[in-house]
Parts: sequence; C-alpha cells; structure tokens
Amino acid sequence: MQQFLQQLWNGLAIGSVYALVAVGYTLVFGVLKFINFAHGSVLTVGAYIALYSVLRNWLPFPLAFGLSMSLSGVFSYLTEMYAYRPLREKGAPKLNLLITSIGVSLLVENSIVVFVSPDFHPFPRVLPSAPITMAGMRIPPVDLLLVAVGLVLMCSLSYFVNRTLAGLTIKAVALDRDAAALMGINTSKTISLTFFLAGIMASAAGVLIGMRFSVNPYLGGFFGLKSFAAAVVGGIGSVPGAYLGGYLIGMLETFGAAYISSNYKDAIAFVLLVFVLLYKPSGLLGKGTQEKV
Amino acid sequence: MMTKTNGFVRRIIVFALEVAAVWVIGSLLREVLPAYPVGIMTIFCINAVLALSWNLISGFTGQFSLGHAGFMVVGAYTSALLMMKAKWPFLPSFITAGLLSALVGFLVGFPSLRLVGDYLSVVTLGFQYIITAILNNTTKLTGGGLGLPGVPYVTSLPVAAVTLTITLWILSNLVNSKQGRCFVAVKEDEIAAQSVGIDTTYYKVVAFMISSFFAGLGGAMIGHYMMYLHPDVFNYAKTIESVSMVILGGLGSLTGSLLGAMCITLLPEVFRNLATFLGGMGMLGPANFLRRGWMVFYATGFLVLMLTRPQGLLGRRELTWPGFKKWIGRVVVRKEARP
Repeated sequence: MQQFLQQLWNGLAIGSVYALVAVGYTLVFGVLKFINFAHGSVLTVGAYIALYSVLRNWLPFPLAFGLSMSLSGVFSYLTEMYAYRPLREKGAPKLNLLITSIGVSLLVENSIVVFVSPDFHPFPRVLPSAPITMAGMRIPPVDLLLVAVGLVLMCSLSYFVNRTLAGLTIKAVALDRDAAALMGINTSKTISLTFFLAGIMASAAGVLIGMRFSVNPYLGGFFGLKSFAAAVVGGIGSVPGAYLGGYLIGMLETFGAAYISSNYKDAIAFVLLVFVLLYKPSGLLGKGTQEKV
Repeated sequence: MMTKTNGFVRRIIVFALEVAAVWVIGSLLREVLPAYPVGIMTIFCINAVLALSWNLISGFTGQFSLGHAGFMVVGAYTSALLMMKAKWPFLPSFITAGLLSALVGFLVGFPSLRLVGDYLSVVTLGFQYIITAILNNTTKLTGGGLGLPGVPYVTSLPVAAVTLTITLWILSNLVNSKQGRCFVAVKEDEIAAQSVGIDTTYYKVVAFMISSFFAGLGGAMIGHYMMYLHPDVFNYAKTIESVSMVILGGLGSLTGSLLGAMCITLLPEVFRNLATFLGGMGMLGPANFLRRGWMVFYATGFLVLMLTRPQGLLGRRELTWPGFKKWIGRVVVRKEARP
C-alpha cells in the first residue's frame, strides 16, 4: 500500500511535466493543425536559461524561474515569427512546416552542443534535498514544487483560455481560422499568443525536470516526444485532454516501472499511443473530425 | 503482345548488364583507389538506399515517417544474427532482413495509416523507441546495450553499389507504374484519390512496406559494413540524416535523393578535411570550431533550405540523360547566339 501511494505520487509528479508540455502541442496543433517538433527544444532552452542564471549567481531561483519562462515564451514566439509564418504566408504544404520545425529543433540542439556544452549538468541545489515524509511517503521537495507549479499553471491556462477575451480568440481560431478572421480577430496575433503560452508552459516543465534529473541538450527531444504521445492520447486539440493524457502516461510509466519492468519504461507511452490510435483515433477527450472537401 | 514481351525481356537483359557493369566498376575501384575514398563511396551507396526508401513513403506517397531508423535496426540485427547464429549465407539473410522489416512495417503502418494526418510520424518515432528498448533488453540474443561485435564484413563497394542499382531500378519502375501513380495520387489529395476508386489505406500500407523493406536492406548493409551493431546507432539522428538527404535533393525525385545522399555524405568529410588542413596551417581556433561546428552549419543549412527552396535542389524533376543532353544543347545555343 505504501509503495502504491509512493508510486502514485511519483506518477503525479512526472505526469505534471508531460501535461505541461502536452498542452503546448495541443494549443499549437489547435490553431495551426501541425505537429510542432520544435516544441521540445523550447523546454531545453528554458532549462538552460534557468540553469545558467542560477549557476552564475545572476538571479535568485524564483526570479530565474520567471525569467526562464518569459524568455522561453519569447523564444517560442520568435520561432513562429521567423520560421513558420513566412511558410504559412507562402501557402506552403503542411509537410514543409513539419520539416521546418524539425530543422528548428536540430538547430537548437546542435547549437547547445557546440556553443554551450554537450555535458549533462546537475541543477544547483536551490531546494532542500532531504525528502519530506508524509503519510509514509518520501517526497523530494522538488516533486512538491512540480505538482504545485503544474496545478497552478494548468488552472491559470484553463481560466485564460475559457474566461478571457484573448483566450477565447485562441479557441475561435482553433475552431475555424477564416471565420475567426471574418469576425475581426487578428489571427496572426492569436497564433503568436498561442506560441508564447505554449513556450511558458514548456519552459516551466523544463526547469523542473532539469532540477529533478539533469539539464542536457537532449532533454527536450526526449520529454517532448512522450508529451506529444500524451497530447494524442488525450485527444489533440483539447486542453483538458492534454492534462489527462499527461497524467495518464506519467502514472502508467511509473507503475509499469515499479510493478512490471523498468527496462521498458520508455516504451509504455508509445504502446498506449498505438492502442488509443487503434480504438479511438481522436483521443480520449478529442472530438472526431470528418475530413471534408 | 509479342513486342511487349520482347520489350520486357530486353529491359531485363539491359538491367542485368547494368548490374554486371556496376559490379565490375565497383570491384575495379576498390582495387585501384585507396581505402578512404572507397569507404566514402560505400557509405554513399548505403545512404542513397536509405534516402530512396524514405523518399518512397514520404516524397511519393506523402506519409511522413520519422521512425526509419527503427526499420533499419530490424534489418541490421536480422541479417547479422542470421549470419552469425544460424550460419546462413549472406544473400538469404540479407533478403530475410528486408522481408522482416517489411512485415514490421505492416504491423506499425496498419494502425496509423488508416488515419488522415501526421499520426504516422509519431507512431513510427514511438516504434523506434520501443524497438531500441527491446534490443537493449534482449541481452542473450543481441548483446543488449553492450552491442553486437563480430558481424561478418560483407558490404564492400561492389555489393553496396549493386544493391543501390537494384533499389533504384525497382523504385523507378514502381513509381512510373500504375501503383506508383496511385501513391502520388494519395499524396496529392487523399479525398480526390478515394473518389476515383483508389483504396488509399491499401496503397499507403503497401508503400510503407516497400519503404521498410529497403530500409531494412540499408540497415543490414550498415551492420555488415561496420562489423559491429549497437541499438543506439540507429537513433532519431540517423532518421533525420536520411530525411535531410531527401529534402535537399527534392521530395519525390529519385535522382534528387542520390544527389542529396552525395552532399550529406560528403559534408562532414569536407569539414573534417578543412579542419585538418587549417590545423596543419597552424590555425587551431578555426580548426577546432569547424570540427565541432559543422553540426550547426548543417542545421542552419537545413532551415535556410526549407525557408528559401522548400522543394529541394531538383524539386520533383529527375536528372536524366536526354534531359542532360537538352540542357547542354540549350547552353551551347545560348553561347552561339551571343554577338
């Protein structure tokens, strides 16, 4: 029972990371209908910004965290501005957008390897490392922060998207871009806003996952991919679906590692993905779409 | 009817002669040239097979696969293990490697290709992670994370060149056949293709299986060239390598894939030699930068290409002999027309 509770908590912590990144994929897919393979690299950039600000003693940790989130948001916005928007305006096929996003992620990953360092960096100790014992579970403070930040960010994002005017424009553009433009919504601005929000969420996940494991150039590729699986499992285009998919994959992974075998931990997310695609291609909470001429 | 049969027989004979010629030239080059250029040429042939196979599914059929390395690794381990453990000769193990990759391609492709959208890219990428996890954990059979040493060396230049010739011949006949036109129809507009009676799922799965078959052959050649296998050799970066070759040459152009494979194979060599040269001149700073920095150059080039010339060097055109003669003719005429 104790082990079960412990694993539940671990699953919740890692699930928060997947959920935070998955929501970025879902938001961007909603407005542009393409898989942004560069989303994972925003996570890496965020982790490195926070790492260096703390490592060089430029900023105290909370400020560094905030700086990393806002700068990564801007970075995400810039990738849209300079990589995807020119293609979109030319009316290039979606495949080109997809390939360009792979190019962006290659550029970020390789630039970090060449100009910063190819090593794995442990994050400086900013939180006490002694685990807190709670109801028989041993919880590292970083996990506590992860779950808390995850919840706060997800709730604020849901509030923003559902209750504010700027958020509602995202929903409108996702529903029908042309119709939204006819209703007087500045779609370019909305798309930029979407990328900015996605960047903020990803960078929060990146900093926290860097603190839990280590910061390295391949962080984004690895977590990004599984988070994308989470977004598809939950139903791509649906914000609650991304949260659900993230937590589901986090839980399955930790329980699979604890009770079945830790060797196949990284494969579980994708096995789940294949089953969901087989039986409910639109994902758990996604709405089925009919392709029309 | 008679002439048709004769045409077919003639084409087969011409093809057999081509293969024989490639074998002879490959063997000669291996004897004459030093090991370094022969190695580069062999790697070019392997890369070209991989690029062609990726081009079939993504360039011609329009289904974006990102797990190509997963199919390479299936082929590589199958062929290596059949030769090492079951003591099969090379050719049967090589072909079995391709067939098994095709079977795996069917199993992976069927659930994801029924759907419209970019799901294939994600499922194939996931498949690559799954297959790596399996190979890393079946230590008894594959050596797991320790790798598999002692793979027999087979992929000499003539073998690689002949495999490339056969691949190119099969694929160029395929894309110009009725089936090939159906692949392109699926890429151009899935709904329109369906409305004229093309079973899109069937053609997508078939294209994916053929593509996996050749990816398996390419992977097997890699194993028999390096004489050592490790699951992590076939990672995401390996897939992206093939992807960038095709994109550089042009999606949907076979000769473009050859051109792209040549450029991407030569790129790190050019940088390495330039770095050695600069190092020899005493310019250690730039030399070190070039040694590490070619990856950034590669990624930047990739992006610039996508933004400025997304159709690649050739687009969907092919480099052909009559086309070349025409081009030469135009150039000559233009020169003569000058006052």
